[in-house]
Amino acid sequence: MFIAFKTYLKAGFRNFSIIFWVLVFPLIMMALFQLMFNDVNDMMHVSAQPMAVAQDANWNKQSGVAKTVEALAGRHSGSAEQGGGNDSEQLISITRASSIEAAKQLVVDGKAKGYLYVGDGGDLHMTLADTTVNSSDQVVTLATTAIDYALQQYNETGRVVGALAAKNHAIMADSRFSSSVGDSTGFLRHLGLTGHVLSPFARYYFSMLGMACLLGMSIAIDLITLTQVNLSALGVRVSVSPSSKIRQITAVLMSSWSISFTCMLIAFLVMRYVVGIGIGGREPAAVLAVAASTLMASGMGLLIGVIPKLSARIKLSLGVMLTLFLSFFTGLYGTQAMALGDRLRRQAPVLARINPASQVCDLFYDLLYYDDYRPFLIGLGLILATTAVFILVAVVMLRRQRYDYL
Amino acid sequence: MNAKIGGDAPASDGALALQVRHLVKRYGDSLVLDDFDLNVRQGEIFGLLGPNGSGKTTSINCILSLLTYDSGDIKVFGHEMTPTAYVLKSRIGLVPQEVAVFDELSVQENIDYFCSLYVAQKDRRKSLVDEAIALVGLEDFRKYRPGKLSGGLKRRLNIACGIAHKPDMILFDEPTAAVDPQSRNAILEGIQRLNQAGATVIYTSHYMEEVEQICDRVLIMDHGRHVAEGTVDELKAMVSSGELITVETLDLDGDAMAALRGLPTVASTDYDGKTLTVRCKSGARNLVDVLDMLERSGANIGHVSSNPPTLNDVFLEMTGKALRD
Repeated sequence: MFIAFKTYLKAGFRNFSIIFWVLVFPLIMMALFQLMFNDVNDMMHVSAQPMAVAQDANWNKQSGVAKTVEALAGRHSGSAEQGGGNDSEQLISITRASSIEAAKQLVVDGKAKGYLYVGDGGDLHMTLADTTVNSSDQVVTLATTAIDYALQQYNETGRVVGALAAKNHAIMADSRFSSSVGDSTGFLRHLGLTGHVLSPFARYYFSMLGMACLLGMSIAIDLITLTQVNLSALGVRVSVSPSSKIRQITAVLMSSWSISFTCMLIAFLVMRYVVGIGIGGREPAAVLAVAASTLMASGMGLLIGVIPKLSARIKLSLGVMLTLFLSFFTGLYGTQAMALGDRLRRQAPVLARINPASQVCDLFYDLLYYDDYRPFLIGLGLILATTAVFILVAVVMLRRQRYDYL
Repeated sequence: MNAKIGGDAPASDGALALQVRHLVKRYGDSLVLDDFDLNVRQGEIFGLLGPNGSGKTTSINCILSLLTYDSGDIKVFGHEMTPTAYVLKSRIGLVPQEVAVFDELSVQENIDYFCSLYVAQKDRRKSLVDEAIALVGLEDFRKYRPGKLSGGLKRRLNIACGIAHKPDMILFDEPTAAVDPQSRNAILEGIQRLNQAGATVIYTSHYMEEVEQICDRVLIMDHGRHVAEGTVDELKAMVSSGELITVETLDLDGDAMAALRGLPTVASTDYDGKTLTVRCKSGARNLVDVLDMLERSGANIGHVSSNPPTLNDVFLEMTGKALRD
């Protein structure tokens, strides 16, 4: 049996069409995802916009404005004047000007995209160059919108504080109140459900892993036809030999699983370490998930492969169609498919649970989102049970097969 | 007509390697094997001859338990053949009609794998694989994959995969189909060497020349039925056809043709102005009688050839159609 296993392994790894669908195709998909999602990331990234700041008499009268503008430039109190800012939070880069006219000149000279100044009423304003206003650059639009929002917030806070001070002079003496005025950093706080950073695109990659895993069933379909008299000349040769069907099935199962496990493991490692999709530091468990998932796919392939009265080509097509159909509900094909898959999960959880593609995706979600391993182990048990059913039915069907004609 | 030399019982001069009794196989309403009988003695090369669709491959598939059958008994080396008769299977080799090898494996890997289905010991297998490669003359192609081999070499590989484990009985199902003459001769010689080494060979073909060349005994079948069985000479003796005489001559007249037709040994004549073809009835002096008649008629005779009756003549006379119709 070991020789049969080794032979099928060699034949499988040397079969380009098998390796293409099980390994190359997922890698291509991942490369496409990365290209697509990099563009999305770029669109959502805010870069610092060069702004002139008119530090005239009005500016000097407002004690809080400098702190706010420094904050927009990414410099928090206590940090150095130059550098030390967190670039991811920096909305502007400052060029100082002594007056509004000097600031305007900087804009005209193209050294700034706009300027900030304090009006006579004490409000902080922003004026943008025509080219900035009409810019089609999403990054510029996003940044100027954010700056404008921050200025509105500053001005509104100033008005509220002014009103409070007019009603209650003593409040300004309260150090906690005065120190909190203008402190916008405490308004928003990042919260995480898990102890690690989640990629917003993880779902696509997990769905892709699910599909890659199911595509692996084509290996078992392909190899099991090599043992069937009615499907291949090799099947005739194997059937007249003293090698029992059980031995052949076991060799096919083990070799197809080994091939698909190796291919999917490579795909997973690329996803994890090249693309950078995290799995919550549970990589060993993820490898276990890959092993169980590919075993299930091989079992499913075995089952499809032994369906009587269908040609090998039809069985392979059936495997691909099933993969594409089942992957639909994992959300691989976009947000609409995701919504439909989620709806199905809510309204018919059993259907979602028995979908092999969903089972595979869920294993990775379980690792990523839950603090303990219990959901993962339940998912793993479900996959192994599904695998056992596939293999058992396949073995019974194959052992009972007798041929009336070839 | 259903003729058999030696009667229904197996011949006494050899134990039976294969015994098929009253085999019936239907595909739906179509009767493919009709009460088919077959006895193959150990150590002989037995030819199963019949036109395409006569039931040769179906009978082989039934014998090997690849196909179910409606009724009948099949015994291999005296034991009933079943899908799980693994001991019997280990003594059988098959060279299927279609080339059945892994495209992804080399010549040596293919032979080694199929041999491993029968022989577990690696050392023993290595020498068996080497012998099989030498027998079919693929020494220079050990590392080649089948895709790089010509049709003839692929056929040789197909044979090596079926015989490497040195089976006691080998079934060749049309092994020379679509093969060049050089490879065909190599294959036929290889089969004869296997037989000389002790293997019983069952050889199915619709090429009568091959069957005549290598088979000790032949069974002619048609429409799933046993038509005739015996040695090649015995089969030829069953029919009234004698040799086919061809004479190059340019000056035969009507009288000479009439005289020829009048000879008791002549079955039919044909003359196209250049070549005279005379089909004779069975007889010992046919050529002498024909040439004597031509000489007396004053015809100038060029090249003369005389060909004894073929298995096709036997088939033609027994079924009313040629083997390759």
